[in-house]
Amino acid sequence: MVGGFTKSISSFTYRTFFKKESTYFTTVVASGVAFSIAFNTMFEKYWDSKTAGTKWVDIKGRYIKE
Amino acid sequence: MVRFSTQAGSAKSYNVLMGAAAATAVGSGVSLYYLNKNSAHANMEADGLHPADHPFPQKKLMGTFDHASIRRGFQVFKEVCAACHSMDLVYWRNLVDVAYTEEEVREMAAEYQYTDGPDDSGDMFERPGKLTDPIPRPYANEEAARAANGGALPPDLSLITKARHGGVDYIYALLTGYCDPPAGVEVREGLNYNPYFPGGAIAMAQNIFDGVVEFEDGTPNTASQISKDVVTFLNWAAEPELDERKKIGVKALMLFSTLTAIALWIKRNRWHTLKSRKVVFNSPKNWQQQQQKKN
Repeated sequence: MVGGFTKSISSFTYRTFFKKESTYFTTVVASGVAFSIAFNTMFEKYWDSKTAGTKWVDIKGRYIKE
Repeated sequence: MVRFSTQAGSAKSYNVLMGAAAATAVGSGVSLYYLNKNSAHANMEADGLHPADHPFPQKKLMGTFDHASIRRGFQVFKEVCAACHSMDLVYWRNLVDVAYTEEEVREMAAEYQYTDGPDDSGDMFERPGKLTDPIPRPYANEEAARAANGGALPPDLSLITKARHGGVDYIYALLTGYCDPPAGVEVREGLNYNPYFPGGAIAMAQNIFDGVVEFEDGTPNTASQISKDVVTFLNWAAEPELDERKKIGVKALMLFSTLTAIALWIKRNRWHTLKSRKVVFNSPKNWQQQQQKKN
């Protein structure tokens, strides 16, 4: 049986993820990987739309010989 | 006597003094900047005319190259500038997937002959260019270059936009800025007048005119367009990493500013107990009175 605890989201997060060092470390690494993938994908989309038409990949279609 | 200490003296005189110090600092900074930018002196020709600020896209904080312009610029370089200027630090392979496909670069490189060897009998031989070769030099060495150009050495252009004060603006202004010298200015035989060149007398004659190069993509070949494209190419040659660097830079700015804000918040969160505590000193002088009040 679990001991007495506060029924809040922050308390739940603390007990499940932050209390033990092993789970804390896993949380940090996993959220780092997830953030990295999400941020890089979104940034790449944003950057490609800002530089549309100027990069080599955009103009190489005119010069490829089949 | 007024002191800066907050322990002694009134707050008002301290504020007045601080205000006066700040006003002096700001005022002198603005004045010195204005004087530096707008100073006139007798030897301004030695500095060269300050070039205008042109809207090259790669100059902006988050701007990158227009690769179609790099492609046209290389064509201009090959047809006009390579007759006198070397570009030793750029290799044919550097152009692949920047301005040309690999097949196109192989074809272009193969048009030139390079000395290689020695072969099995010990002789040097000529062979067509490969991707691993550098852009060919017009002259074998500095002496040959000087002899062919009236004693002047056409500089290597691999890093020229980074090597000249004013960068792309200066090179563009130089290429398009040839004009007749003003009345009274004598330019000796062999030199040409260009107000942007420090000293005013440059050995290079004007080479870029309307229509001197035909662009395959149909861009109008005015002198200013040709100059703009060749300057973009030169900028790429000096800073090939610019596109990637700007991309990483924007990412870094976004991430670091977020992390800094988080760090500042965490610090203030952890310190708030200490910063908002109240420390009361109960002087021994008060002990006797308090004892009497209690009794």
